Amino acid sequence: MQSTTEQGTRTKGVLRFVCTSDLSREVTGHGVGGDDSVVWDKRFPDQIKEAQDVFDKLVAKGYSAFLVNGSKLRTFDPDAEEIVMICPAIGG
Amino acid sequence: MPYSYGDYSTVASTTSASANGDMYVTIPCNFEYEVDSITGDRLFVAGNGEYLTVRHDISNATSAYNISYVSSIEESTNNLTYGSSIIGDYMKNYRYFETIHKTQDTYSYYLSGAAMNPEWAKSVKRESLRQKIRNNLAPSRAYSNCIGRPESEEESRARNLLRSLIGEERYQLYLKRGFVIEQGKSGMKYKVKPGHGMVIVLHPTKQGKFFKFRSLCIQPKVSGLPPTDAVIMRILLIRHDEFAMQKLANVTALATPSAEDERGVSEPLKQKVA
Repeated sequence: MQSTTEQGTRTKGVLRFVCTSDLSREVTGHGVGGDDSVVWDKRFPDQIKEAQDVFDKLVAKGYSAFLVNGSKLRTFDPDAEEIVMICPAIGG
Repeated sequence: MPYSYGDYSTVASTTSASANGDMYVTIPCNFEYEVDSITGDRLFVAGNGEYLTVRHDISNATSAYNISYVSSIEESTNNLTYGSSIIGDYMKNYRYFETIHKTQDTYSYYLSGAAMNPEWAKSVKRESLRQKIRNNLAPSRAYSNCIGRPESEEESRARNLLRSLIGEERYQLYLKRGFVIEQGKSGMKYKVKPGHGMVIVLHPTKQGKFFKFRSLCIQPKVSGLPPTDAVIMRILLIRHDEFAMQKLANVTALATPSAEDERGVSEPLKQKVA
C-alpha cells in the first residue's frame, strides 16, 4: 500500500500532512483541507518514507512546518497527527 | 431665561422684529421648527403638518434680512398670518431638528440674523456623527467585507483547514467580517486579511484596549494561491514565529505607543522589535 499525495497541477502554498490509520476514509472524504494534502499510515514504513521525502523536499525549498496545535517542526515526525507546511513568505 | 444667544434674551411676545432682522417669536407648543443646515433657513412645522419658513439671507448680512415670519398667531382659532409668504419646498432641504426653549405652554425662538450660530454648528456635528453611525449599521456596510462562496476547490479546502486551525466560531466570523484576529505571544493582536491584504498590528494599552500600531505587508512567495492560504500562512507565523514575521515583513508605522501603552507589551518583543 502506498501513501497518497493529493497534489493538483498548480503550485502549492499550504500542504497538510495527515497521519491516519484509516487511509481509505481520508482519501474518499477528500475533506482534509489545505491547498493539498499528504496522507500516510504509520503502520506502513514505505508511506512514512514517501511522506518524509515530500517533507524534506519542501523544507529544502524554504517551506516551514508546524504542528497544527503545537510548535514549529524542524524534521518530519511520523507520529505527528497532523502537520501543516506553508510556503516561504516575503515582505510585500 | 434658560436659553438665550449672546446679548439677546427671549422675548415672550407674539412676534417682534428688530431693524437688523433679529426677531423673537413665541408660538404655541404644537409648533416645532427645523433648520436647514446649508441655508440656515428655519422651518416651522405646524402641528397639523403645515410648514412656515423663516428665511435668513446670510449673503446680505449688513442690510435687512429677507425674513418671512409668522406675523401673528391667533391661538384661539389657530389661524396663521404670514409677514411674507415664502412657503415653498424648503422642507426638502432640511437637515436636522432643533428646539430652543420650551415653557409650559409655548416654544420661544430667537431667530437671529447672524450668519454663524454656534448652536447650528453643534447640530451639524451631531447629525454628521449620527449619519456615520447609521451608515455603519446599514446591512450593506456590515457585510461589505463578507467572504463569499469559495471560488475553487483549493479555496474550499483551504477554508476547511483554516476552520480546523481557528475553530468554528472564529471561522464563521471570518466569513462574515473578512478577517481573523490572532493574538501573538507578545500580547499584540493581528488583524489578518485574505489574499494580498495587509496585516494590521494592534498594540495593547494599559487599559486593555488595542490601537492600530503598524501594518505589515507579508505575502506568500508563491503566486496564484487561494486567498485563504495567505491567512493560514500568516496565522501560523503569528502563532509560532511572530518575531521572524515582524522582521520579514514590510512595516508601515501607523501610531507611536505612549510610555503607558508600552507596559502592555512583553519585554522580549520590545527588545526584538527595537
